[in-house]
Amino acid sequence: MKDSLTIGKKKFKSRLLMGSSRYPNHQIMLDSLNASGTEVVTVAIRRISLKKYNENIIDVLKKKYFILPNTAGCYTIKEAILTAELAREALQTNFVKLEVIGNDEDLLPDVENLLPAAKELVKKKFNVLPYCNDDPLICRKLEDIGCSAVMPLAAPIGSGMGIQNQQNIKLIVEESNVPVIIDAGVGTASDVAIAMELGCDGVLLNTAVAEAQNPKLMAKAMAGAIESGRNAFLAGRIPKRSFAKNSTTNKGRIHLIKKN
Amino acid sequence: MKKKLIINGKNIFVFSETLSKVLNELNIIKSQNLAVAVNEEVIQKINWKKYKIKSGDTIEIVEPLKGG
Repeated sequence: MKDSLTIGKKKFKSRLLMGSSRYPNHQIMLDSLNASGTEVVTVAIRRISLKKYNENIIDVLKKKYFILPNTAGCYTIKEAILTAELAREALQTNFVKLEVIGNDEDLLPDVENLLPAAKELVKKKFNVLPYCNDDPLICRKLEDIGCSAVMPLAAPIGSGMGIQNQQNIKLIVEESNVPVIIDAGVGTASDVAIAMELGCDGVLLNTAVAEAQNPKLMAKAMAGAIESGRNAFLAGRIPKRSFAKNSTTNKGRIHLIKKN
Repeated sequence: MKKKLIINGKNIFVFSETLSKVLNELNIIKSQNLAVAVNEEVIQKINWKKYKIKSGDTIEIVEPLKGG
């Protein structure tokens, strides 16, 4: 497969990973996922209702997409590990997007708990994709533990602010031997393009598409941004200069002699 | 004899002896996507029929849902 994204032993043609939350309805979600060209869709693991049977969209998604369960909403190592194990049983997958957050307000990763949780899950033979800070040192540690990818945030979850620290993301990309996937904080297509131009291997997003005025069109825009950004990265951009450099040669230009 | 269980955070009384029968008693559809943990340990689907439930057990019954 040409220029594919490989996570663990799994290969993907698309470098866009999509969440399945917050869409206006199921049909718009399905249409948007289709327009995005994604192959990977994230889901959460939640208690069932004991009162009524809820229609579950997961069976529909499972037919077409690689389902990546997450541990969203977990605050402790124990909660994250049990959620990952329940996800493995429910979906028969070893892949897990590991989220261990500090609190409900900023939803930032709690790395003090994330690292031991990742270590334990790797020991239990999971392919761990940790949602983490844009911190090169933490990403290095997660890779050393044996994570299958690192997923630094661009900005806080759902903020739509785009990559806040491009220099850190660049450093993470340069130092990583596992895929670097930007997770959280994407607002629009240019954020995705920048991530890919910086050399990231992929982008995971949800709200930017689900809550766009036209989710399907935004999904298409994201797919285009992934491709453009990736091509620009592979093509190799020119260095930035603080001075002008003419693009047309001066040789042969007309030169009028000034007369007084 | 009735057993007192904590299922998904709620106190629930059941008559059933095994995990599989508890799910039946509560009219829970055993979909392929369901996962169950008893006292923080995942019980695989193949073991639901023989897994004995005792009073005081804490059970989590979950499924995948939309998420980011």
